[in-house]
Amino acid sequence: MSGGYYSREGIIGGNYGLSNYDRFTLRESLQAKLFDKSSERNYFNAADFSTSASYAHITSTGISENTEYGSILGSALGMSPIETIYADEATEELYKTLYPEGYPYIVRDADGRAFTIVDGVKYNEQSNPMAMLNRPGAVYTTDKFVANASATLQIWDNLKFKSSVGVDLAFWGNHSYSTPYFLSSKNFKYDTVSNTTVYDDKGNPSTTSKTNYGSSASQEMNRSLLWQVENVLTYDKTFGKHSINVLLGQSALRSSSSNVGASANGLMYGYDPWKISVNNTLGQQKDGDRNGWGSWNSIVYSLASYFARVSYNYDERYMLEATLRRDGSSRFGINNKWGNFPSVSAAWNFRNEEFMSAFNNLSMGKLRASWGVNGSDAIGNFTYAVYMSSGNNYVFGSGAVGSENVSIGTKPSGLANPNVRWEESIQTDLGLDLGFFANKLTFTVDYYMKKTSGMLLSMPVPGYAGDSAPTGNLGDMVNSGYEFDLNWRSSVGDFNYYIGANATYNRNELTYLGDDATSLYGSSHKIGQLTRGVVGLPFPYFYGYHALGIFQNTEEINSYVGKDGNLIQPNAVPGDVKYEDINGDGVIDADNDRTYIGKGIPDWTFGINFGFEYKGFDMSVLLQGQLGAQAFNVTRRTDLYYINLPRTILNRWTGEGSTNSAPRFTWDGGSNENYRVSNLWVEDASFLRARNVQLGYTLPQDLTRKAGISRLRVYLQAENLFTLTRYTGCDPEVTGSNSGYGTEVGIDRGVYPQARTFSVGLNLNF
Amino acid sequence: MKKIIYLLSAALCLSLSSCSTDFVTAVHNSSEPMDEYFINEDRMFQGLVAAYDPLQWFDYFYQYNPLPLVSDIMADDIYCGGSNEGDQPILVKTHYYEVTATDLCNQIWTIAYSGINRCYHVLEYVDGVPGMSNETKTLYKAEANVLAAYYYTILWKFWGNIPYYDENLTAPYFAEQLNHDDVYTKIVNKLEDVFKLNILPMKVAGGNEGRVSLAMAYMLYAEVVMYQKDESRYATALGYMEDIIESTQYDLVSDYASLWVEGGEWGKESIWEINYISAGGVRSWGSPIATGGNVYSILIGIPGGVPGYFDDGWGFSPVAKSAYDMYDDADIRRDGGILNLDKFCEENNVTYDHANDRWQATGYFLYKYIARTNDNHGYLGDNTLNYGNNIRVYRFAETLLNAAELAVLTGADGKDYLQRVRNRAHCPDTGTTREDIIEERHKEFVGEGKRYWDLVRSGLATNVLKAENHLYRKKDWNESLKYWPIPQSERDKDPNIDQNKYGL
Repeated sequence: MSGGYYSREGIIGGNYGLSNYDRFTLRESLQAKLFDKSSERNYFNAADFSTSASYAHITSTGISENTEYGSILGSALGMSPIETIYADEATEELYKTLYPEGYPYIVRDADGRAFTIVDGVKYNEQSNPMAMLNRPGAVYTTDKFVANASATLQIWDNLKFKSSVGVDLAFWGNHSYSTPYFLSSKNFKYDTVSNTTVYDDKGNPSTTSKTNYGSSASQEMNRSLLWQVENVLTYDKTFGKHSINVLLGQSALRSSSSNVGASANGLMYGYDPWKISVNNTLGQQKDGDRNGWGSWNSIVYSLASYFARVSYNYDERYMLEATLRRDGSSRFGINNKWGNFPSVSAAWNFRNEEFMSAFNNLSMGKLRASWGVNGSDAIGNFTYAVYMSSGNNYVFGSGAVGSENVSIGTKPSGLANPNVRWEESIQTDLGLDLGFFANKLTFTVDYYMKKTSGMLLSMPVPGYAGDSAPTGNLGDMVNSGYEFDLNWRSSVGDFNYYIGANATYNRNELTYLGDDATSLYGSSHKIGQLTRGVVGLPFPYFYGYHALGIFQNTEEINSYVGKDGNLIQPNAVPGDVKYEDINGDGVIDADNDRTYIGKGIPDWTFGINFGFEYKGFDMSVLLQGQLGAQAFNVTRRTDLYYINLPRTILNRWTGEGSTNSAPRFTWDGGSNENYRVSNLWVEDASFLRARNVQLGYTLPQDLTRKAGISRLRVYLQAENLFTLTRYTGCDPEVTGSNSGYGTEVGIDRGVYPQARTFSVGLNLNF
Repeated sequence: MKKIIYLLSAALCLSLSSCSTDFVTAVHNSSEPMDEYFINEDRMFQGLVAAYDPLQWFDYFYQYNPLPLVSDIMADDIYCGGSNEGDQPILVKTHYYEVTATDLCNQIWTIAYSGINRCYHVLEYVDGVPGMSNETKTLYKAEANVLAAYYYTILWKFWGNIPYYDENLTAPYFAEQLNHDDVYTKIVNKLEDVFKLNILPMKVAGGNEGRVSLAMAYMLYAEVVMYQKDESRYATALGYMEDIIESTQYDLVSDYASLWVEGGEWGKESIWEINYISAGGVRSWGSPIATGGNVYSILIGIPGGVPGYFDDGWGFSPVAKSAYDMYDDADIRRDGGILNLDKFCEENNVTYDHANDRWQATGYFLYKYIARTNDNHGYLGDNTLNYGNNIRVYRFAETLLNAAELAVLTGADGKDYLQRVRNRAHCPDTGTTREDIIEERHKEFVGEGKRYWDLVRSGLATNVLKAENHLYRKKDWNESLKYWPIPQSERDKDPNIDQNKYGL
């Protein structure tokens, strides 16, 4: 039985209760021997039973990030830094005359101080971010129950049957409310009355009034249920130096989900949070001020598997294993549901050979080889078929005579791909494990080659097909490389220490990509698509123009000519980017002059860890890093003019000789299109990061034992203590939102930064 | 012990049921597969409604591309405007003839093809719907075909050489790109096939306003025939215009200014409008294509507003002083279509602070579609995105002017038709040459998205749309600017699409 509590305040808005996370957990587990008659008979002679159950309750609040319009983060980044947070008394007086209707709804902090109302004409819907933080947010709650039970029965001497059942039941939802507010003339909401005039056949008007409520409440609850069963029969037998293990099994899982919610406008009992609920509202359904919704899916996802495994071990020297799986997934159409996935492996523990007995210093020595096929069904549900979706409505009738009516429209939810099937990966691995001096020194090296075929990706369907693209099995890819792991652990007197390093070298190559053999992904506003897949190159890679530098003066522009003597970039002025005319046709165009300009996948990833322990003191350090990866920095909003810019804008071209790597300042890139996709926005994303550093002290036991404590350790910990990188964005660790194969890998659209965390801790054992 | 065996066998039974393929079939309780959906007339009507749906997206679908605005900022009456030159850079580039394959109003492309896709779903399924009369089936087919022709016309006018298909694409979803002349032939044939069905009513019944009528299809026909300068079809188009006129189901209203208020929607002059609704409108920043109001009105609204008369807007589409000045004082279309703000303030004894003026401000606003106070009554979504102002696509005045022009082009006399329009506007007869008619259209349709296409098709664009005649533009219009570049993202996915030689 155990319990836990965890609480965290967010970096942005945490102290306003808008970005917090609280979790309470309770866990229970039980093992029981049902009977044991193994001394009496050799059939049905023993049975075990075990259960575990856990419950978690999570409450969180959040602010929206990465949205262009009206978000707190967007406003904080976009707002002029010299705007004041609070309005002084004189300004408040001014507001009364400037915004006579809106002023009563000005946002105030807990002490009643009024926040500055920003100029709506200037900022549109962007507003004072501090005022926005002081408005109510949504509270999300989750209740999660996980229960597992399993029973094992000894059927015969070496034959065992195990059956297990698991259930994962989750309820999650949110409740939120909104009170009237006035942030600016472009961002406000309070009760207003509007009049609708309609005309009868004779043209006589009749007018009705309606309140547009400025307050609202909403609530939503979701439920998901996932169950799974697994049955496994194992046979274990050792005779002489032979040992054999056979396993036959089957498993199945299924999930379902449902959701229900309601919202209504017009809070009835004022704005006391404790009295706010959807029930306590004035809005009427006929006016559209009261909404309810619900959906129910009895079977969202099912997965069935059968598996068999045979292992053989001779004298702890030779080991062989073969596995066969057959999996069926509901995510594929009728002809593609099932896939077969075999694998085999072998190992030779040569240390145990007699001829090795002379090599005393070698404490471990093993050669490994394996080959296997894996399947993936990591796509959405129902993508193989066309299902209808409603809400594609249109208005018929005339407002002038009050016959205007919304008609319900229905269309397919998107293009479908009935042929979508399992993605398969064939992985071959060769490995060597060595240990020396009683495993003080260990060394492991692996070579791997993983061939993926039928990668599940969004199909590159042109927009003119008229609907959204389905998922397809698009291409084949090979990842191959080496993994190294070296560790040394020893002691000098009381001084125990260890040092270790690991490194992975990976080479990635696209080997097949459908018939059209080219695809682009990862579009960004204004500058087009950023990544591409081409056979023979890493997948995905950054695809764009190759910048040669900056035109320093007019002579450089005039001397940059094609074969016919024509200016290659006639629209350029000094300070603009000079692009390479790759095919030499005298013009810079999208078809012929875009090329490989980098990739987001690193060549090398590595880790270094070391530490020691001496007379109660201990220290550990974990460093991580990557080499050979680039990041595409598209964090600057080139579609907006009046926004703050990162400090790097100071390094721009300002005159002849100032720089050769950043163009002059322009609103939109100018007629030379300086912001087009080019290597100017691709930066080295190599880094070395101190992921974790810990310093601890354990009090001597003879001291603590008197207080009934068997061990007491205090420690100081720093996470992300420092990062060495040349990358100018927030964080060089840009993994991108991974859809399928991560066509976004390396694209930095403004990642939420990783926190540098310092913590002081105490470990107590009784 | 026995209990355990029961338990284990129960688990085993449960799991053996998973052997079947039925087990690994998911059930969609909240939706039905398309092939089983269209089982009655109501559902087929939903499919037809979905084909109309994209008509209302152009004004706001992540880009602000109302078709009248995008067309007019390429001509001479309307500037781009907005808070500054960087407010909507894509519109500014369109305004300056500096469109590129990555900086263009590409949502027009996406929206029009979405509409085409939905029209073809109607055509694909309507024949198989049980219990639906043949007459209704034919009507739906006619509507879907005219809508598809309308969407193709938009693409054809902006891009010319476009991928074209007559039924929905299947994997790998590529279509052949047709030359602009061939696209024209396809569109005009599509409409002619619809006319043979003889099913569309000249005017739709009350409550159905917004659906395709025969008059609307005739207007579309005349538009494409005249834009293509297809002399072989001038006589037919003229005949269609005369059919509309002789049907007497449409007429000019006497008060030009009354055309543009809510009470003027779907009046006797209206042939086809894109419907927007304010009461109950659910359009919001998060749902840019939900059904509700028009964003165009706030887009071109007066910055800061005039309390009691006009709502605070974003200042796009300022009207050029030259447009206001082209009218005679007696012409009711001047102040019935264009708002002279200072004059308005003087007459109504209110004030306007010109410190609110935005980029390219002229003091003249497009009265026709401007955000008037209370135009967004009863909305449920965001206040600024739910103005009820319908977009007037075809008015009877254009029928008359089409008829006049087609008459002149076929050697007949168009004077009577032309003079009906002038009489309504309180204007005298000032001649009936083709140039006179184009100039009359200029005055009649300011801000209705007609002017640019009129200049291009009449050949006047090269002379009129010169940088020297424009306060801001630095490039002259020339024939190479007729077709925008195909969006680069489309050519990245379909390398067989040839690029238009825009500006080259």
